[in-house]
Amino acid sequence: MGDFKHLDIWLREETLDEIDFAAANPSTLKARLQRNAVHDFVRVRGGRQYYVFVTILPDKPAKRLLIKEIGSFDCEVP
Amino acid sequence: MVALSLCDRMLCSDDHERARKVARRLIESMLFDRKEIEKFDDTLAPEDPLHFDRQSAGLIRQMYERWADEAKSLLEQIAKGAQRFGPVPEIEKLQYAFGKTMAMLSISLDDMDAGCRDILEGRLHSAEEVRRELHLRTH
Repeated sequence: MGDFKHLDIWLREETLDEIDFAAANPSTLKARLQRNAVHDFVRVRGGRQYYVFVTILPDKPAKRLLIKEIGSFDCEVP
Repeated sequence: MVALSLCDRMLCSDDHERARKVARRLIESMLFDRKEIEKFDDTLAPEDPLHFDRQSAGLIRQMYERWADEAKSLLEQIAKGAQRFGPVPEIEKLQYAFGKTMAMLSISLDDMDAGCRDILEGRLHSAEEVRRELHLRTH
């Protein structure tokens, strides 16, 4: 839960929506970064680009995704 | 990236078409390098993603940091050069890869270690709990 607190409120909601999308479409996840699955996306708001990077551990027996970490970076739109 | 040391001079060429071609090639090369780091990551990482290997994670992190430094430098040089020789649409792919890498690097080794421990020790929150918490904080 702490990882979400680093994000702006609107970006938390966007991130949860993206995680829901990944949960509904697990085939889109690829094993990257220390064998964790990764989901990343970008949003543009107020002249800035926001990149979010989520590491995910698919828990197949329980049919759920475990979110390990959420990283973010933002910069001016080029 | 080997060619990076040459890019300053090549991107300054008066032949604008040639300079754009060089820029495209440099972008391709930089993106290829990133793919190679992903392969190293896959090779070095422990089989179990919940077994955190700080040494291999640290090595991979250094490779990504070095890549990000070079990518940033290349993005700046191409953006500057594009004012003379015109836009290079492929730069968007490198911008995305750079942004994604920086977001990934914002996750420290300690964060990665803690992420594994939280799961192993059952400190989990459902999506509903997170949404509820956000709702309380936002309204």
